[in-house]
Amino acid sequence: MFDPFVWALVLIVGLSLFGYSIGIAMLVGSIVFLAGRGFDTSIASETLLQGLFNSYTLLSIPLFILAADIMNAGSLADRLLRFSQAVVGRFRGGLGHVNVFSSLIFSGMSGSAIADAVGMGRIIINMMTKNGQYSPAYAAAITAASATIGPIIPPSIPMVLYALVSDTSIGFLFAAGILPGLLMGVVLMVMNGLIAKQRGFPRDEVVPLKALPGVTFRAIPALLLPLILLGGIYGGIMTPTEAAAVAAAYALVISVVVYRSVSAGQFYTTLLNSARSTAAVGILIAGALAFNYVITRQDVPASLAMFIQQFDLSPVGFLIAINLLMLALGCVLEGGAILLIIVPIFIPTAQAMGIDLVHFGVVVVVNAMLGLITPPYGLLLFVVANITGQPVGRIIRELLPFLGALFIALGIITFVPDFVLFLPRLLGYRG
Amino acid sequence: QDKVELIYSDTVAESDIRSELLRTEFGGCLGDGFDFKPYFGATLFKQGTELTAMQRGNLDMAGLAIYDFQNQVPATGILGAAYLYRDYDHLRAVTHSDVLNELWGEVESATGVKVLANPYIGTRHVNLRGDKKIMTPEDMAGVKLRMPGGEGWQFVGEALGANPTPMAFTEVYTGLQTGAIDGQDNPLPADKSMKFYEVTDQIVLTGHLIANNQFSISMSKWDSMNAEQQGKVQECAFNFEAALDKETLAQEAVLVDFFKGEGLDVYEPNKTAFRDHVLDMYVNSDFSKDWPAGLLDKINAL
Amino acid sequence: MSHLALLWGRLHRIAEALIVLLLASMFASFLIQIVFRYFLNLPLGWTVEFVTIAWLWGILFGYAFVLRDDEVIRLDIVYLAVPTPAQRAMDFLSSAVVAGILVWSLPQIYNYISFMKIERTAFLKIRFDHLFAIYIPFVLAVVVRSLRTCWRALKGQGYGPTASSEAAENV
Ligand code: NA
Ligand code: NA
Repeated sequence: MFDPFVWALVLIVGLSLFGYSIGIAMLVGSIVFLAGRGFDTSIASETLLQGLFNSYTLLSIPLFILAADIMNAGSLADRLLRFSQAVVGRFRGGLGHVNVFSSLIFSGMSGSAIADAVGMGRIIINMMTKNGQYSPAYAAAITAASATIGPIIPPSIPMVLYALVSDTSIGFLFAAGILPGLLMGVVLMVMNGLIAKQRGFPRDEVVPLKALPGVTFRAIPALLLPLILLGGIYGGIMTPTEAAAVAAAYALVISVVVYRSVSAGQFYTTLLNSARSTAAVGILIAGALAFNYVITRQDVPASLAMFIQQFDLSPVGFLIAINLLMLALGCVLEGGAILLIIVPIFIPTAQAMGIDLVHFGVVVVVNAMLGLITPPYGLLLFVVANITGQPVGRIIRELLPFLGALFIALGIITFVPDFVLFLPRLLGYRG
Repeated sequence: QDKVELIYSDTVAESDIRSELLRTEFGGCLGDGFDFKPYFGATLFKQGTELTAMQRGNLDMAGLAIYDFQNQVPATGILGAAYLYRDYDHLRAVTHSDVLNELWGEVESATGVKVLANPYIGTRHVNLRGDKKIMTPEDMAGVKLRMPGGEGWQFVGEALGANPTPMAFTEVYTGLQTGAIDGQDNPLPADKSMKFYEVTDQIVLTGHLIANNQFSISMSKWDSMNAEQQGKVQECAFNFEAALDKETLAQEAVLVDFFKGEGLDVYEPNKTAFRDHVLDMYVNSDFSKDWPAGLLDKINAL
Repeated sequence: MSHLALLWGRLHRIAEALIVLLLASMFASFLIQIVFRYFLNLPLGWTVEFVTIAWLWGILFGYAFVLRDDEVIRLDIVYLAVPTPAQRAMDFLSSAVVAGILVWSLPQIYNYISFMKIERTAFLKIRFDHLFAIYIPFVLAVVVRSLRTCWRALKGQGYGPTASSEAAENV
């Protein structure tokens, strides 16, 4: 009971539950562990500073944040929605399909789920609820559910975090997310179609064919971004980290030059907001870096591996257990924190069981994203509740069928590694 | 008597044969009087931060790169120079002679870290896409060659005649595949384990670096041990060095044929042209200004 | 009083401008790096290093001097479920513990930062004690902000609006 590690854990959990900054809680907990073991307490600060300074891949995070913020500041979301409306609005439950479809496209540009819900989500929720066609709770639910796709299809901030803790290639991780992300979009659209039929949701007004070229043309600069990013990364023009800068630059150019929708003042505000988000997320990463020393020094991954060995789990059993654990944690913890603190301790075991670490990465990132919409603690739930002014409880009720659909997708992603690894292998991944 | 605890940090992955040998040939050799605790994959301390951790008494041992010493002991720069050693035998002739004693003495007093052994980790060769034959440094003009980050490494790439490009090690495979880079330099075992041979067409046996680690212990830990314990640690360090040498040489011996079997063109360029060009660039640059006077000649003479 | 508030507001806007500058220069350095490497075939080393420094300083400086209390990522699920007096007690306790531990460990932290004067960065040759110097004001700011929270808690005031989702919005 007087083990310094236990003290550190109690302190971190306690401070976090008391509402203190999680990043600082981890730093302080690490200091207490070091002091308890009689070590130099500055190791926590050293690990934090050197970790931030030595992780090149992390540098993509502020730029992906900036890219998403610029896109949301400009009229890009608006044009994407109009394009999506022209493509899938004509089916029953049209605006629901538009909601999912536009998230699929947006996810090819943005690495963040919340950015999708805050930017495009706000607009589409208004569209859906304007004439009382859809209940606000339904609009909020499908917006939250489809926003989880954002970080599955590249680019993706959570995958950058996973690459950091697992030492896997971001390029391959990104490629591995594409099919699972599309699958999630498909199951959500199927579910929306089923509900639309059952409840008799309207079709959206059919965009006449002769208007289609114009709508598409106006959306083209935005639609090109995913192609530029993926083409740039897999065509060897840039590293995934540099791709983040290109995404931000491209979003800036089309917003300012092509769409003329972002002023200098707005750009300053956007930069400031991105810098703020970077600092908030960065401290979480920093705390996790410090705490990672504690976990290593305490040999937690090895002890855990021994513990798991007792149960004689098969890789499939292990993956099921991970899914259950992640989903449970996702109900109470924030996705980034799960990826940075909890996932690293399971990576050695996954590796020892012969589970491919790129596949494992996609599984845990999908789990972390589902955690954003599982009650009681789900950031996406709070965001859409805030937009619609609906109580979280009512949104959750509408969300359940979509959650079910996403669980089916998660099952396929978990148990069919070949599906996840198909594209990375096509690009030369051996695993 | 208490066991001597030795905390060791390495950047090599736990699954690597080097880690295995370290456990058995060093850790196993130490026996009951020691508690050897290795941490692999840079999980305990990040690459490049081990030296200061040892100096602050937070880490006992590490496998350091020679570049890690350069900030504090600029004279060690000479040991990181490309083409300093002709081949493996030359490396061992030098490390087992006394020509480096003075330099290691300086390292000990300046950094408080003692280098116990210099295990051989392989000879670095240039590994390229395309079929353009490379015989001299001039042929390397315009080649985007991935080199590890850091000025010293980038200079080696430049001295080889290429355009050096820093890139994270985990991204090198995709970089080669897509053509973001034209080539990379690593020992043959790394070319195999990282599957670089799948996405490249030739290995130019430039042999520009006879790479070795500085297997080190902090002086504070060293001084805390009695003479017998010190003797044991030194003996086991050499034991590990011999075992890793043997393993690396054995791997390299079979890999040339393996790569040829994979369809790669493996050949030796005009090494004299490379060596002269590279050493000339060192001598005419700031990189050699801190080299101990006369040491290069002494090494060459062996 | 109003003079002080004015000065405070101005300082805060300068701090904001600083992190904007850091992010903008990061952005620009990356673009320069891409242009030089892929279009001019001239790889640069300093860009990566500069961007890393901007990242490190942006986080520590931004967290210490720009972020509002309600932008910090925290777990407010229990916090929001308890009555206000309990929240004040939790604020006081957690902030006091954090401030105490950080102040206690400050000498060791200072010791590490100043020790790092013996190392320099690879390209820009910046001494690590200078590079890491921002960490000291960062820790001090966390301490001061925690003490302010304690003080506010004693007066029955909280952090201010708890909309933690906004700053966490990009994970
Ligand atoms: Na959506
Ligand atoms: Na994405």
